[in-house]
Amino acid sequence: MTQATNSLPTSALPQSGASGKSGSGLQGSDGSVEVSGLTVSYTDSKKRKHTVLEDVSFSVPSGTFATVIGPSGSGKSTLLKILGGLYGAESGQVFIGGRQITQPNPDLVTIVFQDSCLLPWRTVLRNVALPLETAGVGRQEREDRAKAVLELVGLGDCMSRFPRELSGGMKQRVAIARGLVVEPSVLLMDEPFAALDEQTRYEMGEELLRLWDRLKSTVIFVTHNLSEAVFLADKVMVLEGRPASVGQTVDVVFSRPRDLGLMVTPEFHMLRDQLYTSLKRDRIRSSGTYSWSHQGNSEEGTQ
Amino acid sequence: MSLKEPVHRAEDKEPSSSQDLERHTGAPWRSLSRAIAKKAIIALVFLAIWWVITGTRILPAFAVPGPLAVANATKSSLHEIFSQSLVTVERVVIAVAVIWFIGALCGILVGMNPRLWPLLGLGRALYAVPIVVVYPLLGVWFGVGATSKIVFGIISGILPMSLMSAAAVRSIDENVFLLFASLGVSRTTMFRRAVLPAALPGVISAMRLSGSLGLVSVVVGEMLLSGNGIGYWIANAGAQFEGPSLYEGIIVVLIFAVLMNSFVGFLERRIAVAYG
Ligand SMILES: Nc1ncnc2c1ncn2[C@@H]1O[C@H](COP(=O)(O)OP(=O)(O)OP(=O)(O)O)[C@@H](O)[C@H]1O
Ligand SMILES: [Mg+2]
Repeated sequence: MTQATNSLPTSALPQSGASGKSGSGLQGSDGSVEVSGLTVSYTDSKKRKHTVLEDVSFSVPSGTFATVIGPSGSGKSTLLKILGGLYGAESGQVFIGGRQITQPNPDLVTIVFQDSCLLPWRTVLRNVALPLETAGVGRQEREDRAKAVLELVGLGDCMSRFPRELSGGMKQRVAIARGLVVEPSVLLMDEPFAALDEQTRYEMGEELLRLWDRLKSTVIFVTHNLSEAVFLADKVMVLEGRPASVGQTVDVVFSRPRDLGLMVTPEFHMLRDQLYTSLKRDRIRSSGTYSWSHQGNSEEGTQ
Repeated sequence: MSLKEPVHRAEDKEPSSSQDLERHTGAPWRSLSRAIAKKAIIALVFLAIWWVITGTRILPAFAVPGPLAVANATKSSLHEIFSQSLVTVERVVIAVAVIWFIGALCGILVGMNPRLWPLLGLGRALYAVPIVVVYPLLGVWFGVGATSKIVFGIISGILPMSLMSAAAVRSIDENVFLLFASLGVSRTTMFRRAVLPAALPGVISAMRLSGSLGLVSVVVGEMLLSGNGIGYWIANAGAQFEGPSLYEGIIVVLIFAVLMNSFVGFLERRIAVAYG
């Protein structure tokens, strides 16, 4: 495996958002994720069962930045929905911070969706405050906390705009702010930068790392961009096969804080190429059932 | 010219946050008064054209009486046409209120429950039936009074209102539901915070269409079978070849339509601030 200097990021002071309330993401092992023997199937409209994930097991220690890669349709979004408690698994268990996940736990785990999914009828501020509102936090407090998070993602002066007045990158920032506002122990991110141009995508990644450095929650970040996966991660998990399971896990030990300069180093390329080779091998093995490119609505492979 | 324009637009678009807030609170009212002014101008132009046409006497005075003739007739019958209008207004208001509230409620409920979606097919089939044919039946059931007109108005308007509201709910982005589900909210919260606001633009378009259907149906009901109301006034004037009275009635109905349209337009502009 590729080597670099020290492995654990021990930088920066953890800053606990606007008010001292909750801050569950900061207490030791709270954000650990344990997944064992997870099998997930969908029943299609003809009542046929499709197993998407089979026997997926992994563990992510608290405070780790983990990325999940895999081709389109391999079940990455499905995995995140299970972790977020939105779907039930057929078998297997998910524990987050020692708690078994059977339903959404909005104060423990939050999800940033594949598209930003902002509510068009709410201002930026009220979009970000939404999770606090549904959690029953009082108006003044939720506005203060939402403002603080928006400052953190660099949108301090766009708070009274509506989503349609924002660029794609700004929308994703708002979505991230909404994910962070409750100070979750675990932040799940589903290809949050997929719709952005390459330059912006990596800049947002860099910014996300700075944020994470201050908040120190566990992040599970889904992407199908190899460079992004390696650049961000402490740990890269590869979903492969069909039905998919975690094939390969790679620890990425480049020092932190990282900047985009890392991406032009030979070590970075070696690691990236190694992952690419393993994914290509997987694709050849499951000949033609799915393609590497992202193709809109991923259709179920006929087989 | 071509150089200047983009610059202006860019400036217009730059929303500073304080300006923004102002725009959000002030705009609907200002645009309402602007809309009224615009309608007044249209009415004046219409009157002028009318006056010119009848002044030239190319059309018989009965078929198109001049504005002055209508105005004179109105002056002498002002009290009566006003009281007939009030009769109709009351019926229309009741019918349209029922259409809007009950129709929106039914539509949203059906839209939210996939198990009830087969009802939409049934509704669409029913909507294709020309409802006027059952009107005499309503007369038999409810008599010649207000009830048969109100019921007729409701029947004509409530189907499109429900169908369009249901469609508005069904077209809500799946992700919105996923987001709220991930926040662990109850069904009522989901309804109030997600479904209602997301469906609102569609519901308001439904109000526009079903409201005018309700109005038309009440007036038609009065024309067909009634002893009062503006529809009766029109039918009566037509039967007795009283040109000016006929025009008075038509103008009153036009005013109703414009008023209702303005109300829905006002609602539309109020929400446009947020929905774009
Ligand atoms: N609600 C659903 N009902 C039925 N099948 C589904 C459903 N959601 C996903 N699937 C199927 O499960 C498989 C995995 O889907 P998923 O969205 O998890 O893939 P993904 O890895 O996130 O893909 P992408 O990179 O394109 O987002 C696909 O074959 C898809 O067709
Ligand atoms: Mg996905």
